[in-house]
Amino acid sequence: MKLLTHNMLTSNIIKGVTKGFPLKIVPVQVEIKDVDYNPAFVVRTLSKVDWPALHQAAVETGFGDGLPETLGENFQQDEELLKKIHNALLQVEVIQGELVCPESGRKFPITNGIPNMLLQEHEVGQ
Amino acid sequence: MDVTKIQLHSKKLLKKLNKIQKNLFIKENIRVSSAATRTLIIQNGGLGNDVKQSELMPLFKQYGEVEEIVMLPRKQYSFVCYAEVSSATLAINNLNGHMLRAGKDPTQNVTLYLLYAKEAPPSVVPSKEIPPGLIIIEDFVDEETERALLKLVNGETEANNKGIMKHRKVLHYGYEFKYSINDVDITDPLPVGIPEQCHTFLKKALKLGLTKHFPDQLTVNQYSPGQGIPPHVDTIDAFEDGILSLSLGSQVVMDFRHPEGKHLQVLLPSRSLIVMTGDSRYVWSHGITPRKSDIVTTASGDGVTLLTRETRTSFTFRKVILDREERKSIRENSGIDARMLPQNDGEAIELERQHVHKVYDDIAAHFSGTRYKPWPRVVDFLLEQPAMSLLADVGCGNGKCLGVNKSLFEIGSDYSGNLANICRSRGFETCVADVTCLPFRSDIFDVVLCIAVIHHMATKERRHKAVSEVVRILRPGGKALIYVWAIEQECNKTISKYINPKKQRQSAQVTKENEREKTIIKDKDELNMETGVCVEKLLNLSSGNDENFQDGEVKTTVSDHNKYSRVQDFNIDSIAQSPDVNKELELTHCCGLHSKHVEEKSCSNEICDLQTTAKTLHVHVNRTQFKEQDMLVPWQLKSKQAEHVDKTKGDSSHDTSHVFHRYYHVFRQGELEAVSKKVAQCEVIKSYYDQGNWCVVLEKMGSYLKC
Repeated sequence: MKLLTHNMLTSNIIKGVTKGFPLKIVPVQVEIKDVDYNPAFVVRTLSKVDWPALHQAAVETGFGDGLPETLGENFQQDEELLKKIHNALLQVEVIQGELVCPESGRKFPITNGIPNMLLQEHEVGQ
Repeated sequence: MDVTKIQLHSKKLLKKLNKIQKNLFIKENIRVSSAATRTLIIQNGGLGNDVKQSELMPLFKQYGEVEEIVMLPRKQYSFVCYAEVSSATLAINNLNGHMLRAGKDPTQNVTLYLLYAKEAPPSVVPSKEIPPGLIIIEDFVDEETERALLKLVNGETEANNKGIMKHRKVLHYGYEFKYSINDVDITDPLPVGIPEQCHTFLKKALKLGLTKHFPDQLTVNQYSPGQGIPPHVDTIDAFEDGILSLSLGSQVVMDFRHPEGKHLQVLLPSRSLIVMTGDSRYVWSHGITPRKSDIVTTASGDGVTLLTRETRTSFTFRKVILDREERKSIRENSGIDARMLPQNDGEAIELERQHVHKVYDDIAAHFSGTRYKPWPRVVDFLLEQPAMSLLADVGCGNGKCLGVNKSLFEIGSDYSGNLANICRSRGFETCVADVTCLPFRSDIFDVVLCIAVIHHMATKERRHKAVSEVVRILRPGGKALIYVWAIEQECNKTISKYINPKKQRQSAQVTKENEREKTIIKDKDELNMETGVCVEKLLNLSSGNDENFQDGEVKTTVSDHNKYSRVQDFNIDSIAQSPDVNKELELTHCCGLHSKHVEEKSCSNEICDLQTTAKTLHVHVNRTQFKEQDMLVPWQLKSKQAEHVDKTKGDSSHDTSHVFHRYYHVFRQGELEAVSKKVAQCEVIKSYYDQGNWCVVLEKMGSYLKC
């Protein structure tokens, strides 16, 4: 699971959970996978990304160094920062671990790089 | 003068050899070797020309050590395998054009033509392997019993001509086997039950645990040399498991064929008993190729010999199933717990759990092996999407739709963990999720794909929920492509490739068709018993080269089958044979599959299914038109791995095939649009029919439109 994927995930499907975002990452195994650097993609994708959530995820997985808590206005010109963001978004992969719902504490296992987001029938909200 | 003659002769010979080479390749698929090998093809030196091994051996032995001469029944050629290449070369130089025998006139001369062969085919000696579930016991009865039994039936056949069929003499005890229905009439037993003379050895069989039931039906068949019986499976609902057959008189080689093409030849010695149980009873067909001799291994085991068939009398014992209806319903229900159409969410979830999620998890590897590429119009849609779009493929399966447009960032999700694993192993971002409650943020994806997913939702509410979820995760202005299977497998008079016209005809008028088919088969070669016609035909198909069935009727079917197999996705073997087929498959197929094993059952189920109530979920007959919107679609898991595992375990009796039933709700025209229109912020911007599927492109409207 890349952190960009993580940035799209929420646990608000659980009954009683309103936001369910961002899911806390409890990593057991994290890998770096080489992905071609494409600054245009990073910039465009950042428009969809929830920055605080990405920042938190990067910190949780141990790749938060050099990432600001809030993204400044001129980040697009900061090549070095863009590369770090590229790394966090696309190269960091959580292989084993857990995702934890920030509201209910419900844990979702990550195995073989795949988060399992299935719920029991009784957990499902409307 | 002499030189010219020789040249003329060799020119003629060369021409002749060229022609033979071509024929062997075209008709027999035998490739000739241009380089010298140890093996020679002897054209005109085959059993089909009435040439015997004993005539060839002394001739060919002159040129070196002969390892074996492979004779194939009915073929006009044979193979001689030398120990040394040099011997083969000597033979080819000296014997090409050799006249083995002079006929009454020159056209009846037997002249041998020799070519190097890459290899000799496996000789048709009985296989060492036997089908799973088959038990063979040699010398099951002594010669005295044999004599008594033969006396009994020979007296009977002379006294009563009624049982004499076109090709074999047949007698029935207990119940008469009715060839018109491939079954017995359970309300009309014969006055004479199983003959007293059989009781001792039948009790022995029972005691040895060879069978669980004392038989109550006996069919005696008497085969003269040259007579046989087409491959068949004894009617499943008519007789219990464990069919016993005692061979008296001549030995014979019995052919067992698996629906997927495996062919085993089993030698039944005189006075031996075979018991067909399990797969050998229900899955494999058995038959006897009509010929006058069999090739068998010599007693020493190091060579082959031709054994002439004499008159063989078989005693086939069966236990008739009397509680037909009950049995049928048990069989149909096996593995199907929730067969009713769900009335509420809870039931729907349970049905989907059993007949969607669990099935996909169980068949994931096999299923994935049949899904290679996305359909062309899905590809077109993907390629239209702007670069750097964020895409979710919900119900991504093995990820076959992912990676088409490399400029997108894609996340796949599937309910099946096993399919998700396959998808992930192909390098795609994957999560395990439920389409009715997607764990994704709202208004985030530029594109959502949902291909062949929503037809697995068991209620209208859940189908609506699924479309709602797809739309929810789309950003305003984002587009979704949804595919579902259509009940209409015909559009603008074009029948989708899912439908197999032949299966459709059989399905549509199963009774009539059955009768008609039976007549054909009977005309061809008096059909023995108990044959589910579909099975019979299919099994013939799977052994398309069987010399036994070279007439027009079956040939036509064979070529039809080949054609249809181009749109089937069930059989990895047949797919693997031709890369073209792979492509075709991908282009045409939606969700269907084809399972011979299931069809075998479906023939007999058909009528029953039609009579059941509307709320029951029926098992669909693959490759035929849908009769209802909600049903269970069979998937036969053919497990190569399982077979492999069995071999390593040395356990060949383990059941390696299993039928799974997937729940489907096939959509009517307009239904997918109607569901979509009920979803907030959703507009159907395009809808179309694509090869048996209903498809929509949805666009998410900005929420301000709703204000």
